[in-house]
Amino acid sequence: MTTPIVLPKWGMGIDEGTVIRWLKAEGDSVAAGEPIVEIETAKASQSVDAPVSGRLTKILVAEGETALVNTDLGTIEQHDG
Amino acid sequence: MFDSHQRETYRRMLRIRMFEEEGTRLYIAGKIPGAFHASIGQEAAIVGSCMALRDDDVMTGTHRSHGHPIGKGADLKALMAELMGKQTGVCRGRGGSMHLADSSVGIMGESAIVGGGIPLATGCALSAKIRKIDQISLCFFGDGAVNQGTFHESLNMASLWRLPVVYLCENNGYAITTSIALSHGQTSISRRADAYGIPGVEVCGQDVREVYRVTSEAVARARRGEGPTLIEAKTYRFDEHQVGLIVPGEPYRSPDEVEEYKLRRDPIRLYREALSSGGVGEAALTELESEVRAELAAAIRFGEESAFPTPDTLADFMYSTPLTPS
Amino acid sequence: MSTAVEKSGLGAGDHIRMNYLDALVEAQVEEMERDERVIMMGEDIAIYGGGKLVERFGPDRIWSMPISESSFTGVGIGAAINGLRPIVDLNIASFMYLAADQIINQASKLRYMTGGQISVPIVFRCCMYYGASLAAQHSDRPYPMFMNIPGLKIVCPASPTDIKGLMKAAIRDDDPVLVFEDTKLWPLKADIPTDPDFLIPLGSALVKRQGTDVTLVAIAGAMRPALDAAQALSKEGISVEVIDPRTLKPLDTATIIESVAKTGRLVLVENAHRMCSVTGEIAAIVAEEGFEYLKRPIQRLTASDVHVPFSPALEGQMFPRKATIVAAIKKLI
Repeated sequence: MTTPIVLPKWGMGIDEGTVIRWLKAEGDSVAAGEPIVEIETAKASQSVDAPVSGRLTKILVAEGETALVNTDLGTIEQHDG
Repeated sequence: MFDSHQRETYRRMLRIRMFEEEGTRLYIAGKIPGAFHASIGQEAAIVGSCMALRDDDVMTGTHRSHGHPIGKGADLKALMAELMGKQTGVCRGRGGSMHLADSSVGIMGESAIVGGGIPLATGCALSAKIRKIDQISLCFFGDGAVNQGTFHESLNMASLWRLPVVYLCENNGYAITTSIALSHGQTSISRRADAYGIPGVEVCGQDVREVYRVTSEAVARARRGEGPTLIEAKTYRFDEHQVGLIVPGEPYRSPDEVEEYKLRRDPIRLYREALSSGGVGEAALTELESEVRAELAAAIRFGEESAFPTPDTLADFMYSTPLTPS
Repeated sequence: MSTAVEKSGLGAGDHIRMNYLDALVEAQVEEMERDERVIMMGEDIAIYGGGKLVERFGPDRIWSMPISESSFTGVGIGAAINGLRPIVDLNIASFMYLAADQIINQASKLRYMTGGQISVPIVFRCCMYYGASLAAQHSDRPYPMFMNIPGLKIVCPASPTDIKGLMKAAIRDDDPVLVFEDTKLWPLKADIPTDPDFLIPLGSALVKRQGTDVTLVAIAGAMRPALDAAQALSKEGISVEVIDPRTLKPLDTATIIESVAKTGRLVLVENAHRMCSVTGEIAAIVAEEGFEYLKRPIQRLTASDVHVPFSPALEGQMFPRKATIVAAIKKLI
């Protein structure tokens, strides 16, 4: 099952974020709750955690790119079971 | 013995009374435009509190604005010229009767928006605290202003930060025609101080010596860094809210009540009697009264002889740095 | 705290990359450093207010206010007329209405009504949040109302460089200045001068992009879609000149009229409501002073005269977008 990594809405007036650094590469295993990508907004730099455990299958927003909140940043293929 | 404090107190009270009497006459004669709100009857509340201040203390006032600068020691000439709308007026003819602010004696504004000056006086006190100077801010307002949000909000802040401000309510009993009984759920204004955790004092506003004593205590307290005081000076305006105001229907205050104040509770008469019984001779009092009368005559002459502002000066004083695109 | 410029070790004459919000904080910190009369006041400001300012300046310079917008605005004005130069942070621009009596009846009028005896050197910070599902009481863009008040100065910066230079100029100005910041612009980054005396004079517009076919004037957050539209149109061979007035009062009309004289076409974009908006004022001025240059009718794009709704499905349609700007320009060509 594929789960998206979504750019969260961190607060009032924060409509977009820029990907500073992916902490994992496509194909890496990730654990639920593990920081996976660093995002910079106007107010702060924060990391987005993996929503589920599995394998990072696709990076959709590359480093240096800016995306609106609620955008899918990448996808995780969940481990079976 | 007529000491200099008594002499100055009586002089300023007389100045207000005669300024208002002459002003009323000139207003009716068409020489003063706009509206005219006289402070006759309220001289003791104004002068008694102002005399408790130093020259470098600041204050804010109200639409009934003539008494405040005079009480603080302002020169009458520029005030009278202002009433007449002349260029030599203290506000260059831009303010007029409801806004006789004279910054040379520390007046930081006379607000004709009821309650509008209360935050300003509070802010002046905040500045004194931040700059660590022992300046006091005296804030005049009426019984009507007590029901504005600015009163509540400002007293809360002054209490919170123990600001050096004295709130002086000239309670003349009526907001235009609406009595305290018809507009205050709780009729003691001084008791409102309890809500902010500050001292509240009621004083007879017709007795200049009492107002001076009570205000001096509040000023000393503020200068020691102990914070604000609310003083309710119970006073009375002898004239209508403004000259020429027609109030339809039944009178909102009884003729007996007005007569009682005029005959028995006139602050100037009360102070004159106290001075006499304290040993000040009739000649000294009469001499001072003549001096003030002459001062008034000179002020009126100055105003009448002064020129009106010319139309090309309409936009003067709008901005410190002119509004021209660069 | 130390500022970004301090951390960088850069000197005057250099530039440093920072976003709009950081540039605004930097401007305030620099001015507080330069002039001890500058203080900041606002709700929760000791905690937020763009950084840990209390640690740096102490509690006498940074004042957290009770929720009393009307009176703390007046308290700021009182401090301004008695020797200080406050920055009053009104936070969300919709809260200005609570403070409006003090801004209008006191700050804007004291100098005139006292014949120049009293000056009011004060800055009001008004932050415009909109397009963020905050609904009508937290989403206003009220700058046009205040343009109708003599005695005020109004700036609406649309870039990190502009907000730094204009904020600093506002703090140094001896008159009351309203600084409208637009949250839509917070993430924008630019290389801004580190010179502590870098100022942008009030009343100077900026030609953001040169062009020959159409003049496009955009206010505050409308600048982002305006520049995107100009970029897109250039690929179709339409040359758009983009102008940011930057200061709304005084308004640099000469720069706009000069551009219209060249292009003959004018499109105006802003996110305030339509009636009595800045775009309406600019349209009137151009009609009065530059009518002979106009080849086509002036086009205005604004929010409609409807309150800002909560649902994103409704609010998304509320403000001019790149596509609507492109369409308006194409209509004129």
